[in-house]
Amino acid sequence: MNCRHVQNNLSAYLDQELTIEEMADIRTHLYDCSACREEEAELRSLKALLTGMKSKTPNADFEERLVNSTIQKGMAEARAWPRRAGIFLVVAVCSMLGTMQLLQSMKSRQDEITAKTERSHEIASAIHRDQVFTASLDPYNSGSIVLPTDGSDH
Amino acid sequence: MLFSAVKERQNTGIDHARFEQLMRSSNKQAYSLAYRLTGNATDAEDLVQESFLRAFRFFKKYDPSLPFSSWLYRIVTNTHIDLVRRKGRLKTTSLESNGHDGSPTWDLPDATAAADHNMTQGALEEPVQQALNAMTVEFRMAVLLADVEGLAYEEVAEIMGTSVGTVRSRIHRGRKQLRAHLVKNAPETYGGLGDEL
Ligand SMILES: [Zn+2]
Repeated sequence: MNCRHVQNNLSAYLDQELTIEEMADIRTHLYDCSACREEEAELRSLKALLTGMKSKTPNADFEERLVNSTIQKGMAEARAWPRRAGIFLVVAVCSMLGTMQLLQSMKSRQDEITAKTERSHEIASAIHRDQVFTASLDPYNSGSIVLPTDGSDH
Repeated sequence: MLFSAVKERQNTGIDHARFEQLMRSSNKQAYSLAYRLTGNATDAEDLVQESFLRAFRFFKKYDPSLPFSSWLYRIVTNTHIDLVRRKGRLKTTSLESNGHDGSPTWDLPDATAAADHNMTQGALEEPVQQALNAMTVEFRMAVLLADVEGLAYEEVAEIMGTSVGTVRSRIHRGRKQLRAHLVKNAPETYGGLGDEL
């Protein structure tokens, strides 16, 4: 067991928070090693300093103030809770209804757009059919139709 | 009593008489821990009040087969971290940086703290509290719970919601932080005491 390991475990040793074997190993090391013994003595006096700290006492009226304020605030919160829950519920329902209405209106607008799109698709395919028909009648055309591009080629 | 009067009107599902009894029996203990954690009387009172309010809110979750003080200490330590973060002055500053920037990370000693310590404690009471205030908050808690409150590592781990291994390391590093601070800031008193013991 080396000094580093011993010194890392000195607090636990002083607090008797090690196994019996570990305690014995450290005790043996301390017997032989003055550096670790010194460290142990310092930590021991520090622990004694902390253990000996007087407990702090509050002002005489603290208990009464504490009991009263905790109960008043605690009860006020408990009373406010169902009211808050009610408000929350109303707000939640309202916003839900609002959202539903918004979604509804968005949906009908979408339907409108879809209908318009479908209709323009119909017109487009009608034109296409016409073009194919016309092209087939054109003796100078091989039958293939050059459809108008989106203009990106120009 | 105000409590029993209100009790008639409002039923919160909490055994109020029992809660009041626990509050009366444990507030002094809680205050002492809170004082050592915060370093002054005003913050200690605030911490205890906020902790009991939280205890009241969650009292239904308290398991009466376990000691109330452990449950309360757990609330106090969590509340302390919350309050400190809210105030934006979490004292995690390293020991080395104290004093160099001219802004001490601890509160000034209050009048009652100066008045009520006795002569033998007097010489080191203040430096030790200042050293505690300058510690990393988790180290301070572990050291206070183990040394000042005299709890076993397992109890400290339970209260701090961490492992025994972490507690062991926090206590060891915490004590070393404390010693470094005392050696640096109160060499005469601390050195003298070290020789005596
Ligand atoms: Zn050694």
